[in-house]
Amino acid sequence: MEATTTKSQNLIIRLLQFKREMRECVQNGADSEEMKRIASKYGFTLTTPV
Amino acid sequence: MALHSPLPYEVLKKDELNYEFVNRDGIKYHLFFMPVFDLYPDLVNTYSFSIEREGTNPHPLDRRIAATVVDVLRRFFQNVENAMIMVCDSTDGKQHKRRNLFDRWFHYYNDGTLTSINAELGEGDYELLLSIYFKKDNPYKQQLIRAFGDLLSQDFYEIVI
Repeated sequence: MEATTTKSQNLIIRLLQFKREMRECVQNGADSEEMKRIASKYGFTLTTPV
Repeated sequence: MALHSPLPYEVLKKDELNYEFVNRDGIKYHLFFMPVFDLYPDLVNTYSFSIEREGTNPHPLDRRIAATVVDVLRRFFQNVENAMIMVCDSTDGKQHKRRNLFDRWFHYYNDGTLTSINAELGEGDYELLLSIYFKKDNPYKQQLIRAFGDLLSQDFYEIVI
């Protein structure tokens, strides 16, 4: 058996894994390109709806 | 809602990716919104919200941080159709601390127009705390409640043989 890729996993799991990677990215200085890469890896888009 | 609330910090929109503010101790915070409705259409106009800080050094209690986050979310919920999901991470064992902190902010600053549903998945070392927040007069309220319930009932992992 093997786990599915990140993009096909349950939304909650993807959100959780995204948050963990993003936390580390931000703690280390929050590079914008890295943020975009992490979001894309999990199939997410960062937006500014406010 | 609290009277004499602390003044929020100035929040800047950064590269259309997130919002930033710097507190009195020089610590920069990032606020993230991610639409989940494009991946899960039944969660209409729902965004995942996260707040993360740069660095890891501890700092004194700063009530203006809460005021700042609340101010951003208040503007977010000015669109009555917006909803928000929060997932509290258990990797570092601080998931309850995060949930409790946000609950305190929510109850202290909620002007009675917002409602929330809290859920817990798993147990022990592998525990997830999830919440959804929306306006009481959100026209998609019932759909959101059903969709949130459906999301919780899914398996954590999809295993391919």
